[in-house]
Amino acid sequence: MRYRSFQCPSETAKLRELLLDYPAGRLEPAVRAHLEKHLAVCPACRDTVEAQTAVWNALDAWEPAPLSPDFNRRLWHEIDRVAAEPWYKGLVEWRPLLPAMFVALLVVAAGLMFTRSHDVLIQSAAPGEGVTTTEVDQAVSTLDDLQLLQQLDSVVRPESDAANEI
Amino acid sequence: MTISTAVLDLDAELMLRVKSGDGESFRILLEKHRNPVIHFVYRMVQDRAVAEELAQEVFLRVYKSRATYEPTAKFTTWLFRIATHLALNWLRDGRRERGAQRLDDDRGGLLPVREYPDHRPSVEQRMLRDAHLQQVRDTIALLPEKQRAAVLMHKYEEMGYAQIAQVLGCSESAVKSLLFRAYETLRARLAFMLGGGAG
Repeated sequence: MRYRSFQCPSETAKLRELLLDYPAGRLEPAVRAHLEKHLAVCPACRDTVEAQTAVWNALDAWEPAPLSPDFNRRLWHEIDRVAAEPWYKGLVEWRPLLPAMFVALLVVAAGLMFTRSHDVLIQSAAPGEGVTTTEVDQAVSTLDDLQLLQQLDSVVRPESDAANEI
Repeated sequence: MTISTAVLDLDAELMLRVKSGDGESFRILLEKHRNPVIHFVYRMVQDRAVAEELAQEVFLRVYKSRATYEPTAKFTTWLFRIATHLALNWLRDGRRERGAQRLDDDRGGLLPVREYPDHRPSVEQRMLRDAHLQQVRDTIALLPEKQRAAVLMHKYEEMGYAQIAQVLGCSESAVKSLLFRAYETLRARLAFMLGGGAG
């Protein structure tokens, strides 16, 4: 038996629930008998159980208010109304989330717009890169030409200088 | 609780029938659980009109959820989870203030008074009994919301610790702790009235 070596419930947290369950009559007969043996020799636990029993009985006196006679009629009216609603009316229940959904929609739309404009930038930037490359090539070619002209000029210039001296 | 045992729960089976379009099963569930739900909510909010309004909402939500219902827990656990959620929301939304006037009204005409056909109590006895009852109501109302819900389910719905834990979404040991503290408070606050050795 689990409770063979019975300890004082007020001192062991795991067994404190016995003191709550005792007035409720929810203890197995064997456990109840063990607890009652303990209560006979433990004034502290006895006081707790007596107080708990008094609270339990006091709560019994609190009966709920009687039900309105038209409770069922009102409920069925509501159920019939809900059942007759078209499916999209159920979206009304999402109303509290509408601001958050709107913000999320805005974020998604902004994201899409950013992605598209980014694509456009990349597309428009691609031909630009070709022009730049061509320009560089042209500049290099021009420099090469200038260098060649300078070399020719240095070769031709001494001859022309000599012709001038004659 | 496992899903297989939950499926064996008669209420869960009825709810599965509701899911498949059987309105009569919903009527049976309503008749069976209407009073416990209303009484629980009433003791939580202590206002009859609000309790009925919230209880209507509980059953309406059950009906609306029929299409997506899965018996993953005991039906009453699910039902009281909805009821507790609505009651706690109402209390936290501060609508208690709005209902204060009605609460005062309740204390008069709507407070249930036990009938004693054979031994009619004297005026003094009735006054004393009403004062005691009012003290009980006030003491319960002063408990923190979760403690209050735990006590009401433990005392009036006769739920076990495990089921209360499932309803409140906390551990079983947390529920025991809630109950110990709640009953300790009740014993202390009602001691003068009960005349027992509370403390």
